[in-house]
Amino acid sequence: MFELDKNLVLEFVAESREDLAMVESDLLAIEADGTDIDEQRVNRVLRTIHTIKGASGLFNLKTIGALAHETENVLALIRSRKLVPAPNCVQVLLRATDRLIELFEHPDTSNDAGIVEVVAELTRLCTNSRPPIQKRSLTGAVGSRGGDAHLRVLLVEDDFACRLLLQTFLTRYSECHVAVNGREAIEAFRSALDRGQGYDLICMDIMMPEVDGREAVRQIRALEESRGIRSTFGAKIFMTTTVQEAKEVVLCFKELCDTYLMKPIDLGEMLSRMEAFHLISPKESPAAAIK
Amino acid sequence: MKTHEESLAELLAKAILATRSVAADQEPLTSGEANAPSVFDGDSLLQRLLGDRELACAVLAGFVQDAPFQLMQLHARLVEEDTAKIQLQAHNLKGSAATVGAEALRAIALSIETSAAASQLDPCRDLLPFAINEFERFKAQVEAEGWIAKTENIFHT
Repeated sequence: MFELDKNLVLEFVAESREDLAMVESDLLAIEADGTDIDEQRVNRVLRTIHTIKGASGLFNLKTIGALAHETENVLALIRSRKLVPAPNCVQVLLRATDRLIELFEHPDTSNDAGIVEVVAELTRLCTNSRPPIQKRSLTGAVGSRGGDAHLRVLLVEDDFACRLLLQTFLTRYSECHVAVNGREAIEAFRSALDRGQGYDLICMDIMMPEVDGREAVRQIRALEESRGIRSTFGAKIFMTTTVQEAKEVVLCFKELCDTYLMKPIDLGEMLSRMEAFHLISPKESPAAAIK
Repeated sequence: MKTHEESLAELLAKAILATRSVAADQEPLTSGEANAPSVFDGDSLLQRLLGDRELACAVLAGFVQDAPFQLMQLHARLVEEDTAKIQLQAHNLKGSAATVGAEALRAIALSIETSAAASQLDPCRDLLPFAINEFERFKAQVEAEGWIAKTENIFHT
């Protein structure tokens, strides 16, 4: 992981705590709304939690990221109306939010903190929701890959050299398909879902002709949701970006991308991210990648 | 007034910027500064590719075949005076050049992209010959260093 300025980390912590206070207010309003779900409010909470999750990865705050991930799962169920935000459900979300705030009070030691109880409560909410989420049968995507699972990657890139590099490299680990713009990516993704062979990983360029990367992410997540696939169990989406597009990446997080890779792509960093998202196992080390 | 979500997003953008590479930090060039960055940074390329020289050679060969087409596309977009397409084409060339460590070409492509974004066509026209020249120098160097086999030059500068 990159070395980041300590002030930047502190700024992130302060900002996240303020955001979580807003999340608490929104959760209480969501509880009051009951079955009359205010989609805008639920989306706002979900995106805030998702952004905190994404940023936590960048700042190496693993426990915070893990708890945010589980919280996002429940919020995604509420958003897709598969879980009613009844008082008991909202109370669990509030406890998760409180725990996140506590973890942000001591970010230096947060990775060693326990979150087992609250994660168990969140998981129970997901398990009890009806209909159950079928992960692999719907998408082909899994949260943690087994040794015999075959990784499926969709590479979306209009830059020839970058495409050649990533396709050659990723083919060593996966079945790698290519799209050269966002429109092709959406169609490839839809077609793959129709065949019941969704993608585990999408590497998505941002600035592309016809349909750009951000719009493609938005439509891909909408396709997943329309088929009952929560974004947290859907394809992992890595945005590939240049410095000039940094602010665009942030907007992509709002569309529920998972992480980003700076161009020119460093293959070691690519493998680290794939490992962090359980797409490859640690034994598939950078050294093993070189033939 | 900014929302909390926007503040967090801006902070994330700062964090992303903090991870940028040295090459990406470089400012766009003007037409008189085309020789500043290195023609080819093979060490950085190999480092980014985990030392895989075979992969590096394959990507370099692909780039040397594709870049003339990109430069011709850029010329065509300049003739059309379509700034949005010039910007996109220059962006593409910049990305390809960065991928293979063609630092000088990348810097010129960035300058063209920046000028096109500001709807300034004259600097784009001025810089295109520099871009072609830098590509030829890049090709000559990677051939001379044995990364790829020697082929005929498409451009005659």
